[in-house]
Amino acid sequence: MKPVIHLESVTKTYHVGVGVTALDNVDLVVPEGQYLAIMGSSGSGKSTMLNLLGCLDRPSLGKYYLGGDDVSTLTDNQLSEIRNTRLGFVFQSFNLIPWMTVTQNIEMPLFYKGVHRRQRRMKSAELGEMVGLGDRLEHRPPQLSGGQMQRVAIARALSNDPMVLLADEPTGNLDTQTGEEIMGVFADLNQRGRTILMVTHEPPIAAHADRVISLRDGRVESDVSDYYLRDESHG
Amino acid sequence: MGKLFDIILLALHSLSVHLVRSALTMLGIVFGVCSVTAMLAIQTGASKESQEKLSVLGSNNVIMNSIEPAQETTRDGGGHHGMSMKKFGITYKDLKCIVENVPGVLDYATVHNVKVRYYCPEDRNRLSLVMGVTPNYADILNLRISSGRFISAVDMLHMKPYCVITQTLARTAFKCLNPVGRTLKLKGQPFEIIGVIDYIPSKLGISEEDIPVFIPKTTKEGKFGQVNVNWYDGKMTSEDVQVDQLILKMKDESTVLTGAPVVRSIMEKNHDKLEYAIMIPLKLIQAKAAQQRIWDMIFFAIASISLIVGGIGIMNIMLASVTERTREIGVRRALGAKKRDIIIQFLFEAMTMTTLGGLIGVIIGYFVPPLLKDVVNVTPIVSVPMLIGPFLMAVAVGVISGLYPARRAAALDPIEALRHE
Repeated sequence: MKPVIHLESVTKTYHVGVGVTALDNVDLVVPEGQYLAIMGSSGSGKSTMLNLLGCLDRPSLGKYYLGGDDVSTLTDNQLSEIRNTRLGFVFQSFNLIPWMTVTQNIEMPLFYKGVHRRQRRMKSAELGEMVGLGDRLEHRPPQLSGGQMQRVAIARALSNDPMVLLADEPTGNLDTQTGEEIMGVFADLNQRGRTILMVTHEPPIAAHADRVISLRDGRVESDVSDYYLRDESHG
Repeated sequence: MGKLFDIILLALHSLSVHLVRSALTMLGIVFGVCSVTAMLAIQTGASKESQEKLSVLGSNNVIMNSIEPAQETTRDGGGHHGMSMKKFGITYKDLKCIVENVPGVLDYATVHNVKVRYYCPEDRNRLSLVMGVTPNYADILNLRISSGRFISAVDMLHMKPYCVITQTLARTAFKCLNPVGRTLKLKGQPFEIIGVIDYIPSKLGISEEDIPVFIPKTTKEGKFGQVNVNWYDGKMTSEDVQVDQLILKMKDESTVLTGAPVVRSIMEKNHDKLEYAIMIPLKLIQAKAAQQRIWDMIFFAIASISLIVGGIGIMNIMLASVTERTREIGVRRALGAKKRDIIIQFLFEAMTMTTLGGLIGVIIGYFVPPLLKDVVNVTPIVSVPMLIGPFLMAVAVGVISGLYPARRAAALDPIEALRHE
């Protein structure tokens, strides 16, 4: 299958007094429709990896192809556009704007894309409906439960119909049951062909993915496609 | 364009969420604009009033007054016990020299004073300054006649016992504004009131408290004589002043400036003592205007400070808001907002506050100055540029004080901003 994401010997170094290599010569190919989990302890480079994949940062060395286009040398403005049109973000702490309604939160990527207000409203209502919040569209985030807020965030991430859904510990702030519900939504989306890339440090959450890669000291330590089986065998 | 409009709506929305905070921040600008407008209005009103007062003296005039020389008793050397004769001031010889030698003198008026007691049935008898004047006196000084007429050439010729009084005297002595036709006794002699003048220009050297009464020059000489004799503290003093006041009407402002030094040199040649004073209204007007400009600038600067303070308030709140909303900025950036979009949003929030504050300030500034009329003792003048100027200043303050916080917001690293707690 055609790769959505293609990292080619990507290295990321930071200069905080001394140079720190956060990612060291990483190669990664993610085909369309794959559900990938990235694991690793803190300091393993998974946050850096997510920032790079999310076009919030540029690699120091190497190439990053997103949907076939090299995005490793784009300007800040161009990266904004890429994020706006090709990527969807789901965060651990939901990151909804508390003073805006559910609809206004969902439509935010479309807002910056310059989509007309009426079309935005239609799309956000449709997505709100889809994540099961059709009756809460005019509510504000503080009036919602954690699970509901994460559903709004997922709807927001989907509003621009992204190539990849990037999730950063999406269940980290939720109880186990709600977390499972959110994983259900992810599985459902993946079933319908959505490419999902999720960062987590919890093995049971990673077990929902088709493929799991583990990072350690900025390198890919393992890359397995039968993780859920292995996890069971470990358990 | 649609997106810009959307971002502007977004800015308005976020301001409305923090309504109290936005309103309080705006208040600084409201006061700033209001005080600039009020200052300008009061200043313009005061300036106009003082210019008007001075222009009554006539910018084409040169006014000369006789003054008693300091520590000088006599000119003819002493006098008898208990009596002294003072002889000083401008003479007819001076007048002749000036008229013959100074270029550009169109006309002149002379004033001859005497202090006498006046009497009318309605008022106690008080000391009044009777001024014998020529008929052109009122014209040269642009005195406004509120009722009746001024002294005429015919009155002069026939030494008529007519007098012209001020409105102040009309009010105090006759309890009415139009006592024309009634009689006023000056040193026991009846004078018919033929006219009332508005007021005496204060710079003329006489005030309303002197109770000036104008009579024909010839009548003054006929009835009261050339030499004024006064009894004071049991001592009799007499003053012999030929011309108490001489008003020269020059052709134009430039002849005022060229002629005045000539007048001064003639006077210096004819007199070895300083027994005269020369006043040039044009110079007073010019000096006043220059002084006014300085005051204008000072007042404007003071008023502007409040606007600047308001701007600092806005910047402060915007900076706090950027810090408080760091996470929001991070989310917006992650979801595709460009730096420019963030700048517009925050800049517009600041500008909305100052523009709205400016508008309210201008509206208050339009209605408040007239209410201050009695407090500041001048009639403030509000004009359109006076409203537009401070308003534009407020808008500019919005741009200046909003730009830095907005740029700071846009410069935030999205990754850092998302991690911000």
